[in-house]
Amino acid sequence: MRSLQGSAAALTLALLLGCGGSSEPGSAAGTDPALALLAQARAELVGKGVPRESGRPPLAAARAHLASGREERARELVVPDLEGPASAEAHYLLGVLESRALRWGRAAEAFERAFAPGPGYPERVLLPFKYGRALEELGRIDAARAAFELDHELSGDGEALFRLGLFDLEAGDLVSADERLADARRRFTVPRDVARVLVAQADLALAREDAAAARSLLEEAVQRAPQRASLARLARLCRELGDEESALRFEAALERLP
Amino acid sequence: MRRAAAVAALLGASVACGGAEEVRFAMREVDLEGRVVHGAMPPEQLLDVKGGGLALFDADGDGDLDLYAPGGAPSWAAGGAGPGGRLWLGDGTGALRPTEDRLGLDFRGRGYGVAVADVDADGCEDLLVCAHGQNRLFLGTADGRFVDATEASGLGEHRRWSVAASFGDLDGDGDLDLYVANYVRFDPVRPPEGMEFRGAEVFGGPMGLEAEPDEVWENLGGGTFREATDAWGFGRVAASYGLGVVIADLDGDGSQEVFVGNDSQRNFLFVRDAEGGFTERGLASGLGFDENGFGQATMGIALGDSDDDGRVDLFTTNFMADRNTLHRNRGGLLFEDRTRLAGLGQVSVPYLGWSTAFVDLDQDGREELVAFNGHVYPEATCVEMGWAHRQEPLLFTREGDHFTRVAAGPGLLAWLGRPLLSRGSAWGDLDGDGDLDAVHLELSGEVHALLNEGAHGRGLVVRLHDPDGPNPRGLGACVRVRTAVGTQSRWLVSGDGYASAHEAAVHFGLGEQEGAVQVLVRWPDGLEQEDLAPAGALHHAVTRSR
Repeated sequence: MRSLQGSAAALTLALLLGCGGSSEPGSAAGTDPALALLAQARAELVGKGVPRESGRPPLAAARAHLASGREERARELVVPDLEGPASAEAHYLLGVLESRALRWGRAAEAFERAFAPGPGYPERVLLPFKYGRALEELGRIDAARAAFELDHELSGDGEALFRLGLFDLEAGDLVSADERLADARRRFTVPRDVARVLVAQADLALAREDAAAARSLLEEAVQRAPQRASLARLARLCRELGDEESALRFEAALERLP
Repeated sequence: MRRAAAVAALLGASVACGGAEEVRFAMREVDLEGRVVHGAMPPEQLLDVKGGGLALFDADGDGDLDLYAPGGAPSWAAGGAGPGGRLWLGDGTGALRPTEDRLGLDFRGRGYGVAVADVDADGCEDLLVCAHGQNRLFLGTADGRFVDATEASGLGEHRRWSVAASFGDLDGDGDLDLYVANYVRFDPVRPPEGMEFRGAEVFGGPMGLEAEPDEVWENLGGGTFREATDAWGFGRVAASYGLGVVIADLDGDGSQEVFVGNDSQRNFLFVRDAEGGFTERGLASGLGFDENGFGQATMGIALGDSDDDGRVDLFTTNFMADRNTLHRNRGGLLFEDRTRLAGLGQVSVPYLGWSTAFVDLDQDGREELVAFNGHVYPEATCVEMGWAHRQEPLLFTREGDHFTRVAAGPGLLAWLGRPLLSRGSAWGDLDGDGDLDAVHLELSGEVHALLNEGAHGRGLVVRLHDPDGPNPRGLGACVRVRTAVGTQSRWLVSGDGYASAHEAAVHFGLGEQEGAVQVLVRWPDGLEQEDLAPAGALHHAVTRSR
């Protein structure tokens, strides 16, 4: 009961939030109430198991629709459960739907309700990351950082580490960025993901004025998975290093990408 | 060190000074009497959301700053008739009072941007209004009034949608040519169909609309111009959605470049070649795209030295869900997107930015960075899209090459927490005390003055004067001061901010330095000149040496 009251209080706080772009709660004007919600969630999530499947057949069906890109059909199945005993699970799925539509305000609100106590659901362990992404898009950086840290604690997820590394870069904490990005790189296996980390590591090298290292990292990123981010940086860097021929080659490759 | 600076910025932005606690970045807000109309409110179509700019300049020739804001009609369906532009007269104390006597600035069309320069070199500021329809040129006269010289100047030829303009010497003959950034071809009577944006039905455009080509005009003297868009090579690029333009010498070689901010498309950098024409080098310079190789929706443009290396960097404001962008100048017309490393990226994602400027509000010798924000879609509510329609400004203070956001606070820091539908802003010394004040306006709304009460050191406003030359205010010059804490650089340009005109002067924060200050000017043609601002001076004019 105590736990329930704590969750409810945190949830109430979270629901009182403004949103990015106006009285941004992540700004120094005040502490983002999402931090309290995440602290409460941590106590409830760390070390706890989650069910392998949903106990609600309609929500299991909604997942299947989500996986197939049939968002509207999924929404139809989710909405009736938003007020029922499986409301946390339904709100999680609603949050996923809203995230896909890039409606981050609605997504954050849904994820906050998905933290509510009640029957567990399979993706509950993913909730901090999903919530963190919504917070990140809303500009609530402190809360997003806390959400990604919780996600990393729960799942050891490389994506959360990667994003925390980017936050470190932005905050000027190059030592922490270095560690987190290197760790994320070890955890990623998909070439496109590795390439993203390599680009961030190149930025780190540039922050240290090590253009040669940055070029090497970017060239590796292009080899693994050519992306606009790596090609644009590489073209600029080669030109600055006086290698116009390579710069033109990478620019041409950039122009060919969609 | 950065964390310490960040904590200091977050904890009320106060500084001890002479035993008293002064609040850095304190600005006294004054809501000016009178509103400016930029179309329907709430907005019904694209035309209703891009206005507008404003200009701080001495309109009546009495020696202090006045304010002009072009406006438009309350409803486009009404045929464009409306209250038009508004003029406020200043008295040098910071007060700006609306006047029904527009001094001849009789513009009642659909106005957006404004640019100011003495184009006929008669000692009086002239004013160009960028409009949907015919742009208008008003020439200032010695009696403190204006005459409409649109037709006689040649600038009234086209009927496009112009948002912003910049004056500068493009052909190296000394006088002020003109670049006009044009947006899209748009018929308000038959606007495009609405569209769905993140689940909300919103007005259509600009995507899918035909871009209007930009215009370049050669100054022929006497307030007359000839179009040089194609002759000078500017017409070789595909027309794009231009929203901002600055003419500036970005590499310090004595010739001016043109940076054009385009909406949702690659930005342009035009560079003068050996034959006198211009070549577009946006991609090659790094200014065309952000660091990830994508075009952005550039609205505002700020010029400043963000890392004390003496080179001019460019900061642009962009659409929501994207970051504002800091393009750091690496020399040789190469720019590097250092937004993330400067701490300016993620914090700006929820904001739709417009006017922006580097300004040394606390006069410590390091410029802060300001961006005014506001959404275009009324449907952009927190719950629906995750962003607010009205948005507060962003202020960043700098330590080294890293920026930290300054939080809103009570009293004179409340301006940082006031959600607005901001658009243009203009900076200048409104009350003559040597520090920087501002005026900024809201879309079809109020105009606000911000009077600086947080500057704790000495400021120095430098004006350039070339009485016998074709560019009397020295637009395009770089001005530096050497102080005990280092060298500061400023660029006196036209078009920065958003569709607005700052006071034609540059401002330096000198901290506690009371003595004489060495001022170095590189005039637009490359002439270097040294001068000395006397001890204690708050304003100083540098007259060009012959």
